[in-house]
Amino acid sequence: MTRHQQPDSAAATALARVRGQAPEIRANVRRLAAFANVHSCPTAAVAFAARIDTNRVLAGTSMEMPFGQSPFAIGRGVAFEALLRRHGHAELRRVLTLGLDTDFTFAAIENLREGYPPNRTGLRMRATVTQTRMAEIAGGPAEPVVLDGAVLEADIGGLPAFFEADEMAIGVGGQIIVGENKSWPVVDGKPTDEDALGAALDQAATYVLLGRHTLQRSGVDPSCMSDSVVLVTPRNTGLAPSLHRQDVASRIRRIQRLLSAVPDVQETAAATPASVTFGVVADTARPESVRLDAFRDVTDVLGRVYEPASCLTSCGFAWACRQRLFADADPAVVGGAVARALPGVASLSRVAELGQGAPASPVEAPAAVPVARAGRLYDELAAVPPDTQRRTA
Amino acid sequence: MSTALEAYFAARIYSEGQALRRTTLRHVHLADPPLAIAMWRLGGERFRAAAVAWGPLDGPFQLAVPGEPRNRDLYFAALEPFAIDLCARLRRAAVSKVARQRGSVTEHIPADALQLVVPNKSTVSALGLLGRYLAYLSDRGGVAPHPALIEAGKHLRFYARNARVPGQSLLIPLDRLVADHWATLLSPFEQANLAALDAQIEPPSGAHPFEASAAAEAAARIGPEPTEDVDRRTQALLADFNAARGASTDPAITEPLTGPLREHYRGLVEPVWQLMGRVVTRERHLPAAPSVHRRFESDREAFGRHVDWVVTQGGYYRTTDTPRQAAITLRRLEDTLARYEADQAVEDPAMMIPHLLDGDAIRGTVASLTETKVVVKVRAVARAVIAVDSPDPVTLPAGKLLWWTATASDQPWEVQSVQPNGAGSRVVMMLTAKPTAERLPVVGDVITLSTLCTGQTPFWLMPPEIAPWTHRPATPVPVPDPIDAGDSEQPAAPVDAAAAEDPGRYT
Amino acid sequence: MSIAHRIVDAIAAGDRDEALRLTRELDLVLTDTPVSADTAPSFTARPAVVPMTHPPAPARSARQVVAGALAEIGVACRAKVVTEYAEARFGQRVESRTLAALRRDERRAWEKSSARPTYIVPALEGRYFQPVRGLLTLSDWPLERRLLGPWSERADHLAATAQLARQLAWLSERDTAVAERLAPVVADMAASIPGALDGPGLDTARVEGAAQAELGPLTARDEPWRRDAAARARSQLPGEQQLWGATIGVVAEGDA
Repeated sequence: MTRHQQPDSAAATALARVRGQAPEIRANVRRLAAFANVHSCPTAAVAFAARIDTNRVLAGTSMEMPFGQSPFAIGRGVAFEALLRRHGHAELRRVLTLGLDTDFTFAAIENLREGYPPNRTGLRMRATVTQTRMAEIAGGPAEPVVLDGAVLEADIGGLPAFFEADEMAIGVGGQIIVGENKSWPVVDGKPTDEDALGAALDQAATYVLLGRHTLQRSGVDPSCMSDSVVLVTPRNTGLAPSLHRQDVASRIRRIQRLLSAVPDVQETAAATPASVTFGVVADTARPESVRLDAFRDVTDVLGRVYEPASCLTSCGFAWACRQRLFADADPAVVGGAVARALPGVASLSRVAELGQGAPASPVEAPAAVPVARAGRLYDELAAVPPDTQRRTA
Repeated sequence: MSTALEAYFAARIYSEGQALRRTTLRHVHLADPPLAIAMWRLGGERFRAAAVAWGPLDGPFQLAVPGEPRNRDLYFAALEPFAIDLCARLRRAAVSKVARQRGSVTEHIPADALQLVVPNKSTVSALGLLGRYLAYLSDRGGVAPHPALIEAGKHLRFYARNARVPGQSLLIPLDRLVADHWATLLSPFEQANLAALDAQIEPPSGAHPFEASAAAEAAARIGPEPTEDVDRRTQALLADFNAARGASTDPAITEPLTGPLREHYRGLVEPVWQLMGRVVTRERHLPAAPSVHRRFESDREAFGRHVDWVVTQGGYYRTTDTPRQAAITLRRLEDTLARYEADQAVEDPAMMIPHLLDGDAIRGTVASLTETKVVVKVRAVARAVIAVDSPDPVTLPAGKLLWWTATASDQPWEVQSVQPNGAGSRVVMMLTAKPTAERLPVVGDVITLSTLCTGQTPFWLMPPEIAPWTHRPATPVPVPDPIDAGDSEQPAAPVDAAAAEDPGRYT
Repeated sequence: MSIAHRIVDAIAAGDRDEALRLTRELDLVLTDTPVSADTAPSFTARPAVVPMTHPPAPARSARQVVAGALAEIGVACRAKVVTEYAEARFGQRVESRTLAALRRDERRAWEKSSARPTYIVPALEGRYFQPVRGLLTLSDWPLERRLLGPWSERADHLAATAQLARQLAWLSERDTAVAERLAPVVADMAASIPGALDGPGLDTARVEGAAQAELGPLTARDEPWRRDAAARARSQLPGEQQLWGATIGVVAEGDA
C-alpha cells in the first residue's frame, strides 16, 4: 500500500501562483462534497485545489454572490452542538444509545481538534492520528467510540490534500458509522429541508468515501465503514436531539464517480502562464472592469463549464461565469440540456436566426431543423403581439 | 419540455430582448382579489415567523410582528389576529353553496373558495410547517392557545398539502405561476426568484432582461428564509427589544416596543407586496382556459370537504399517511397531472407546440374525408377515414391512437398509414367510433391531433383496505410527541458569521 | 360545442371579434364579472418578416468570429474565405497574423484539455490523414466533413457557395447593410462556377442553382469516398490524431 506522496512542489507553487493574493480557505469534507457538483469545471477544480475562497474573490464587484447565514441560524447550530457536548456529551450519548441500540454511557468520545497547531503540520498530525485511530476502531474495541474532528487525506484531481471533517466517526462493534449533526428539525420522521438534507447526506457520503480509503491504507477492510449514516437533528421545536439512519450507498457511488473525473489539476496549473492569476480578480483596489476582465482572461485559459443549478449553489464564480456566457451568446447560459440540443451552432444569435428560418449550413442542419420548426409553430399558434404581452395597466 | 422549443425561446429572447409567453390562455384560476401572504422567518427557525403579512392583494397588508417569536406568549399574541382573520375569511368563502348534479346524485359544494397566493414555493412549505405547529399546539401551564390558532393551523396544513395537486388553484406560489406562463432566460433553479422573473418580463426600459434579472437577484429580498444582511438587522433590533421588555410578555409593554422591528419588516414586505400585485395583474390579463372552471370546481369540492371536516366537525388529519393513503394519493396525483397536461395542450395551441415537436402530435390540413365500411365483430359498420397532410414529417406507427383536439374527450382516430408527402407526410386515420357530425372535421381545415385525451380516466382498483405485509412498517408508527415541546426552551443566542469559527458548518 | 371550445377555434382562425364576444360570454358564466374592452385579448396574423435586432453582445474575440463563421459555412473552407465572410457578416476583421496565432493557441488549449465544446482544427487529407494547412474545420464536425478526397475541395467550394448564396438571399430581406458587404464575397466564390454569374447583377437563386447543378454528380463520388476514409481513420487513428491529423514518424538518421 503506497503512502501518499508529498504534493508535487511544482504543482503546489503553480497553484499558489494562480491563487495570487486571492482569499484562501481551508479545505474540508463539506466543501469537497459541494465541489463534486461542479467537478467537471477546470476553473472550479483549480480553485478548489488552490484553496481559493470563490465566495470572496469577487467581493466589491457587481458579480459578488450573496452568501453567508443568518446569525440566528448560526446561533442555533452553535447551541445545538453545545447542547450535545454539555456535561461530557450527555445528550449525544443518550441519543446514540437510543438510536444505535448500544450503550454509549461509557463510550470514549475523542476530539481531534484540540491540541494541534492550526496549520498544515497540525493537519498532517491529525490525519495520522485519524488513520491510526480508525484502524483501531475497526479492530473492534469493547466499548463504542466516537471520533470527532477527524482529518482525512484524499487525492483530488491528482493532488493529495487534507480535509477536515465536521462529521463524527462512531465505532460500534467493529463497524464505523458516520454521524452528522444538523440543527434543522425533523418533523414526523421527515426532514424540514430537502435541500439541506441532500447536502448533509452528500457530506456524510464523502466522509465514508474518504474514510474507506484511509482504512485501506492501513490494510483494513474498507467495508467496516457502514453504507448507512446517522443524522442527529432536533425533533419538532426546540433543540432536543433525535437520531435518524439513512442509507447513502448510491450517493457514495455517485460522489466517487464524480471525484475520479476531476481534471488533472497539476497539469492545468503547471501549464498556466505566469500572467494568469486570481490575484488581480480579487484585488479590491482595482476598478471592477479590470477585475472582471481578469476573471474572463483567467477562466478563458483554464476553461469554464457552467450548469446553472450546480454552479449557482456551489461556486462563488457562478454569476461572473453566467455573465460571461451571456456576453458570448453561449446557449449554455440557460443550461446544459439546451446547449446539448444545439451541436454545430455557434451562438444564441445564430440560433435566433435559424429559428426565423435562416438557411442552415450542413453541420447546423440537425439542430436547426427542430428549432426552425419550433419558430414556425410559435409564430403560427402563439399569436400574441410582443407589445401587449407585458401590459400590466 | 422540448429542448428545441427551449432553444428557440432562449435565442429569441436573447436577440430581441423580450421575454415570451408560453401560453395564449391562463391555465389557473385567479381570484379577484386573492388573499396574499408573505412571511419572514427567524433564520434557521422553521417554526418561527418573525413577520407575517397578509391581506387581499389589491389593498394594503396587515403585518404581524411578534418581536421575539421564540417566546410562545408573544408569538401567539401576534399570530392571533392573522389566525382569526384567516379563519373568518375562509369560513365566509365556504358559506354559499351551489348544487352540482353527478348522475342521479345532487351534491352541494361551495360557490367559491378562499384562494391564497404567496411569492414562492418555499413559502408554501413554510406555511405548511407553521400549520403543522399551530394545529397540534398543546396547553402550556394550563393556558390553552386561542382556538383560532389551532384552526388556522389546520387550514394552513390543508392548503400546503393540497398545493401538490397539479393544476390546483387554492394556494398559488407565484414563482410557479409566472414560470409556467412565460419563457425567460432563467433556468428552473433561477426561476424560484419572483423578482428575477418579473424583471425578465418587464425590465426597466433599455435594459436587457438578462441584466435586469441579474440586478434583481442581487437586490431582492423575498423570504421566507432571511439572508444574512436582513437578519443582522433583525438581530440588533431584537436584542434592543428583548433588553427593553425585560422578561415581560404583557402586550401593554411589549406592543409599543415592536415599532422598529415592524418598520424593518414592513420595509421588506412592501416591495414583495407590490411585486405580487404586479405579477397577478399581468397574468389575469389572459383569458382563462375552459378547463380552469372544472379544476376550480374540484378545488372548491376539496375546500368544502376540508371546511366540513375541520370547522364543522373539529377533526384532525393524520400527521403521516398510511401506506394505503400514500398509494392512493400518488395515483391520484399522477392521474391529475396527466389530465392537466392534456387539458392545457388541447385547449391552448401554444401548449401543444412541445408535443408537436416531440412527435406526440400532428398538425395539418384535412385533405380528404371518406366513409368506409368495416366489420366489427360480426356487423359491418360505417367508419370515417381522413387524410391529413402535415408539412412536417410524421413518424407514428400504424395503430397509434390520436385524439382530435376538438373532440379530445371523445373517441380517438387510429393511424392507418403514414406516407411521405413532399417535405412532410400524409397521415391516413380512421375514427374508432360512429361517424357523427360533431366528430368529423371539414376538408380544408387545419386540425391538430395528439396522443392526449381529456376523457374520463379508466376506473382503477383501489388498493386493499389492509395493506399487504410488504407495505406495513415493521413497528407501528409511534404516536408523535407534542410538536411544541421545545417551546419552553431558552432561545439560542444569535452568533454572527464574523464571530463563528466556521459558519458554513451550520447550514 | 362549449363556449370555451368556440373561443379556441376563433383564436385559431384569427377571428378577433368573435373571440372577444365569446370571451365575455364565458366570463359571465364563470364569474359574473363582465370583461371590459381594454382587458380583451389581442391577436395578430402571422408576423411579417421581422427585422433582425442586433443582440447586446459586445465585440467577439477573433476565435469566436472564426468559429462562428465556420459553423455558418459548414464545410471545410479556406482561411481567406472564412475571414472575408466573417468580416462581411459580423463586421469584424481578422488579420492573417491573428489567425496564425489563433491556430497555435487552439492546439495548445486542446493539449491542456480545457473543456471547450469545439476547437478550430485543420482539414485532413484523406489518405494519410495529414493536416492540410490552408483549410479550416471545427472539431465537433463528423470526421466525414473534415476529411478531403480527390473531389472534396471542389465539392466543398460549391457547397459553401450555395450556402452563402442562400444566406445572402435571406439577409437581403432583413439586414441590407450586411447583405451589401456579403454580395461581393459570394460573387467572388461564384466566379469559377459556370452559369452562376450569367446575366446582370448577382442572382442568388442562379448562383445556388449553378452550384447545386455541378455539385450533384460530384457528391455522388465524393460522399462514398469520404465515408470510406472516415471509417479508415476511425479504425487507425487515436482520438487526438482524428482531430489534429497524423504525424508521419520522423525517420532518424541512419535508419533503413
